[in-house]
Amino acid sequence: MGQLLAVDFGSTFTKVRAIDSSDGVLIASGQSSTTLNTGVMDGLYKALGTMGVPNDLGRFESCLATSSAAGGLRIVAIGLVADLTAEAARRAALGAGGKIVGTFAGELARSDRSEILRLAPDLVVLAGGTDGGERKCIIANALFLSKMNASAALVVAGNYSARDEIEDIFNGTGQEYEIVANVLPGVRELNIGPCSDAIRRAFITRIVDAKGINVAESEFGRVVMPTPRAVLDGCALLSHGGDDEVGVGDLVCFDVGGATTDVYSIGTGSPSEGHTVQRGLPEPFAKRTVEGDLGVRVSAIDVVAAAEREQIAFHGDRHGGEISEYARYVATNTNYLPSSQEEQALDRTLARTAIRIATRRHAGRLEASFDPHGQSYVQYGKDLRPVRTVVGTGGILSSSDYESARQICEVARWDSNDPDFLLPKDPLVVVDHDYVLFAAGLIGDQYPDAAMRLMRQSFGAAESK
Amino acid sequence: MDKTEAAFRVVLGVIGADVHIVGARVMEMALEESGFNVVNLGIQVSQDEFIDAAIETDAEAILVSSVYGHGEIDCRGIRDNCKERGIGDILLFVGGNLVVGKKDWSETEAIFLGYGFDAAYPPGVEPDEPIEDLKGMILLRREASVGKG
Repeated sequence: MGQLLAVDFGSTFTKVRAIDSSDGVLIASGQSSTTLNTGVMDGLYKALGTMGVPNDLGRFESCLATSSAAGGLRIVAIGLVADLTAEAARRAALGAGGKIVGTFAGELARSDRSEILRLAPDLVVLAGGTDGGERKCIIANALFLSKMNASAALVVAGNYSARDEIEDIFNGTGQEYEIVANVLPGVRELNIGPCSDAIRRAFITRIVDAKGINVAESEFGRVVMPTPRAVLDGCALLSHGGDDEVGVGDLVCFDVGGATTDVYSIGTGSPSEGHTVQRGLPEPFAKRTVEGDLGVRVSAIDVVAAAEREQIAFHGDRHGGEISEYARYVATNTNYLPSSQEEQALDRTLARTAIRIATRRHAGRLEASFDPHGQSYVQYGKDLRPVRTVVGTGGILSSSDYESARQICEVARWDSNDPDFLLPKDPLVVVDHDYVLFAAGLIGDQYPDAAMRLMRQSFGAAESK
Repeated sequence: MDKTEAAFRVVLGVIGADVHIVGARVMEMALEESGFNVVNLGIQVSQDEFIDAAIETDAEAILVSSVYGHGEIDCRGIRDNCKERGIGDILLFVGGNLVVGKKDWSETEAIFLGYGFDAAYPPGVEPDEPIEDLKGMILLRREASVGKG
């Protein structure tokens, strides 16, 4: 049968995976440095070279790509109330695989305009007001944006009743924009799907080329989505299952990178125990959060700082001085690979700490609430305690031996010493050893069962390796 | 549509740590039958959550329900909070089982009106009464703003 090529134009490395389209077997893997300056195809061909595959893209039935190069998909989110429509806009942007570079709530001021111009985002999400609700703010902000001459793409996902005024504002300005359904049509209803889809369309049609990610369209097809969106889609597929392959149900996944740790959860996360009421914005079923200060290279110093703030001791590994020194070194030598067992242990400590903090930020939490009738609980965010599958991915986990990597991921479990962080209590913890989650997300739409098998084979590496 | 004819928009909820939902539900149904557009935030709603919702929905009134006896503490500062958040003129109604120590109703009512509520209702009041008062106040406000605009 045919072979599929999945490519990730990462911020540092271009990764390639050749996959059998019928049984999802990973035929070959390769990687090389991402080459933005000379055109990304250079790095792609080098990566194919490391796979021992001739540079002939035509042999693949289908070539699909993701990208997080050139800073990823940089998004500014604007809403009315910080905890409602501004937050909903952020979630839509995160769900699309974007990187939030700025968030604004309320009517924009002149200094906000300067800030947005300085940030030079790839895209702006403009929200504000529930449907039929507040309209002055989104209209004022639209007017403001229309005069800004920013080159960003614009997705309007706010009070749908205000769309005529917003159309009138942007028509004739040359600003490219799309108006979609409100991210928060009612105060208790989140609807980020249409906005995320619009962001993705803008990514494909405008942003990829603007970033210089020019791919050979004749052979390749377009760069289909930002990398984190592919990982989210891979997780959603793993949870749901393919046509024949059964899904695993609710799951948690984290991707530990050099600069950030992304956390994904699939499931409603509704309270699993009694006497609990959920507060806060409704949670997306497929949720992604990004911790921009937790990564094992660029952000290594921030990991140590966050651990100190949150008073996490580096149990059982290295303490204090050693880890800080190592962190300082790798933060500026981001391609560094550990050259001794001790350094490997330090790397693993960084990864473990990043995962611990990131998953606790992502997971819901409980607060006890007392009233004259006794104790009840308020839950913010998702209750992930019943989740039965945890997946770890990211370069550092894939390049470790399976069991060591799995041990690192165990830190994402619920801890009886901190019971209010609603993490999985009794999950099966697996590692994406072949680093194929992004590829599964890419091919999953058209080849769901192959994608499922690809993932299962990567997770089951403990048996075969 | 004539501005004075659009449906009345209100936000409703049970404030503080209170979990008694039934009274608010009864009120919600009665309001909807009277043509109101009601956003019911449920139980254990904080002042900020009332105000967030009122801002996003451009509500004309916030209706606070409190049944468990601690409403007075929960309601303190709500008008000031509204002012800070830019909706200082919104109509604020409160009802349920508002109890302040051993005071009689008129004293309790005075306390809540002193907190900036436009109306307060004792236990046992039928929904019709606050609904009629609310309609009256909203219409007055709307006519006044049409007159200015």
